[in-house]
Amino acid sequence: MSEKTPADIAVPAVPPAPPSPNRPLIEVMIPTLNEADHIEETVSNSLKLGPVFVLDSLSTDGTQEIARRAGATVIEHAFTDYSAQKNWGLSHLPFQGDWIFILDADERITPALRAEALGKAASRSSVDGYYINRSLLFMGRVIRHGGLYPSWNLRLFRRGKAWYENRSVHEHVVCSGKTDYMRNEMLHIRRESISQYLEKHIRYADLESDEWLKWKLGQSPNSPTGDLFKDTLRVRQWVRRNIWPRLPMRALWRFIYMYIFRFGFLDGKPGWHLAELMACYEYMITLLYKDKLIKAANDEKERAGEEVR
Amino acid sequence: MESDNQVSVLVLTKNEEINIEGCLKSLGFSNDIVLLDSLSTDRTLEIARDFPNVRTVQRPFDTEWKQRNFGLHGITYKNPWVYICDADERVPAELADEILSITGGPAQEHAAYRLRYKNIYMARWIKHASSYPVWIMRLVRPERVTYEVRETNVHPIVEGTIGSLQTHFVHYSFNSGLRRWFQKHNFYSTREAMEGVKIRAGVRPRLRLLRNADPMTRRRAMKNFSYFLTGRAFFRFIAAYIFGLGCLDGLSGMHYCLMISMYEYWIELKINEQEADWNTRTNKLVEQLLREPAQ
Repeated sequence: MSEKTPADIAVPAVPPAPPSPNRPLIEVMIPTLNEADHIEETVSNSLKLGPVFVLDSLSTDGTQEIARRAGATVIEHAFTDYSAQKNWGLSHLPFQGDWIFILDADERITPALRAEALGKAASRSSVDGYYINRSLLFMGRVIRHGGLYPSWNLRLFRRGKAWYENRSVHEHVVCSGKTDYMRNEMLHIRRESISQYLEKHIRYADLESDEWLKWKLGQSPNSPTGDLFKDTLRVRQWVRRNIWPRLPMRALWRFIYMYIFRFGFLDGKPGWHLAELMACYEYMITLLYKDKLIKAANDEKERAGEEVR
Repeated sequence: MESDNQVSVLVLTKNEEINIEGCLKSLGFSNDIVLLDSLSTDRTLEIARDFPNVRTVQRPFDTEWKQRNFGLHGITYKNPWVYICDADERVPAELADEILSITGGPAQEHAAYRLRYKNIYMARWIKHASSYPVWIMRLVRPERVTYEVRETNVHPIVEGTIGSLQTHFVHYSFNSGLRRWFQKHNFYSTREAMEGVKIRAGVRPRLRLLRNADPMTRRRAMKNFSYFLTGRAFFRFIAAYIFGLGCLDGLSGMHYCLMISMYEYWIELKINEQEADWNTRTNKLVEQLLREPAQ
C-alpha cells in the first residue's frame, strides 16, 4: 500500500539473520502486560505458526512464568509507550527468520490464516508486509458490522521492513516495501466483564474530555492553523476538534451511525449493546467536558477575585 | 460529657477528601461525630483531624449492610440519638435546629425519623428530575434499627414507630467530579444486577405491594418488579423526565435524567451478562473457529 519510508521514522539497521539449516519461516512477537488469564492459550495458538517471543512490560501477575511454561521465549522490557515498546522488540529480540508476526494477547490465529501465512512466507513474492483482517468476538458472537469490521492491520512483515509510528496511542505500522492483503482472518476475543469494559471507557472518556478542554482553552500545542486544508488528515483532525465536540446529541448520532448506517443491527443483541455502549462513552465525554468547563470557569472567577483583592 | 439535647453523627467515608470538609463544617451542631472510614488512602482522615468533635473508626468495607450495621451497633455513641450523614451531604442550620429540638424534646415516642433531601446538580436544585420528595431514614436510635441484608441500597428495619422531619438535607451528587460518579455507578450497577438476578430467580413480586401505605415498601416493590422489565433505561427516563417533570429543571434536569437512565441501562446489561454467561458461548465459538481441519 505505501511505498515510501517517511523521513521521520528511523529505521534501525537489522543484522542479517545467521545462516542456519532450519531457520523458522515466521516468528511471533506478543507484547504483554498482566495477561496471566489468557497468555497460555495465546502462546500455544501461535506456536503452531513459529517460535514465539513474549515481550513483557514487567507484568506483576506471573504472565512471564506462564508464557515460559507454555513454550515461549520471554523477554522483559519496561514500557514507555506502545510504539516504542514494539519497535524495541523488533530491533532487540533474537529473531532468526525473515518474517515477523505481531499478535496481541487477546488475538488468535485461525488454522486457515496460519496455512496462508506460511504459504506466503515461503513463496518468492516481492511483498514485504501483509494486512490481516480481524473479526471481533463479543458476547458470544462474531461481530461483522457496526463499523467494527473489516479491521485491517499490518501484522505480518519481513524483518526490518516495518516499524511503528511514533504515537502514544492508536499506534500505526509503516511498511517500507510492497504490501498486500491476506484472505483469512484472525480473531480478536473480548472476554472482559461489562464492568471492566465500562471502567476502561470511563478512563478514556476522562482523558478525551481533558483533550477537548485543552482545545477549547487553546492550550493544545499542535492545534491546526490556516493551511489546514492541505491534506485530508488535517481536515479530519480539524473536524474532530472543532465540529464533533460541538455537535448536539453526539451520543445519539454515534448510536445511529453504528447501529443503522453501519448495519450494527445485523449483529443481533451484541450489535445493539456495542452501539449502546459507544453511545454511553460519547455521552460520558460530553458530561465530563461540560463539568470541567464549569469548574474551569469557576476557577477563573476565583482567580480574578483574588487579583482584585 | 453526657447531655440530653445532643445528637451524635455517623459519617461513612472512603476517599472523600473533596467533600469531607464541607460536610463536617455543616455538622458543627453535634458534639460527637464518628467517621466510619473504609481505609481511605487520600487526605480524608487528615482533614477530619482538624475538627475537635470528630473521631475516626476504621473498618475495611465488606458489604454495605455489614458496614452500616457496624456503624449502628459496633460503636458506642455519647448520645442516644444518631444522625446518619453521607460525605456528599450537608445539614443546613434549620435542619440542625429541628434535629436538636427532637433529640432534646421531652416526648420521644419514635424510634427513628425520616426526611427529604434536595438534590443539587450544576448549582441547581433538580427538584423534579430527582423524583422529589424521597423520604430517607436518617435520625435513629441505633439500638432499635438494623439494616436488611441486601447487595446495595440497603434499607433500615425499625423496631418502633417512625416520625418525619420537615426540613431537608442537601445532597451534592456530583461534587467529587463526574468521573467518580461514573465509577461509583459502575460499581453500584454490578451490585444491583446481582440483586436483580437473585430476585428474578425467585417468584414474581406481588403487584398489590405497589399500593402499600408505606412509601418505602412501595418503592422496594416497584424496584423488585422492575427487574423483570426490559428497557429499564427507557422507562426510567420517561418516568423521570416526563412524568416526574424533570423537563421543568432545564438542561440540568435532562442530563440528570439521562445519566440515571444510563445507569439503569448498565444494570440491565449486567443482569443479562450474569444470566447469559457470554464467556461460555465465546469460548465455544473460539474452539469452533480454531478447530484444526481434519487430516
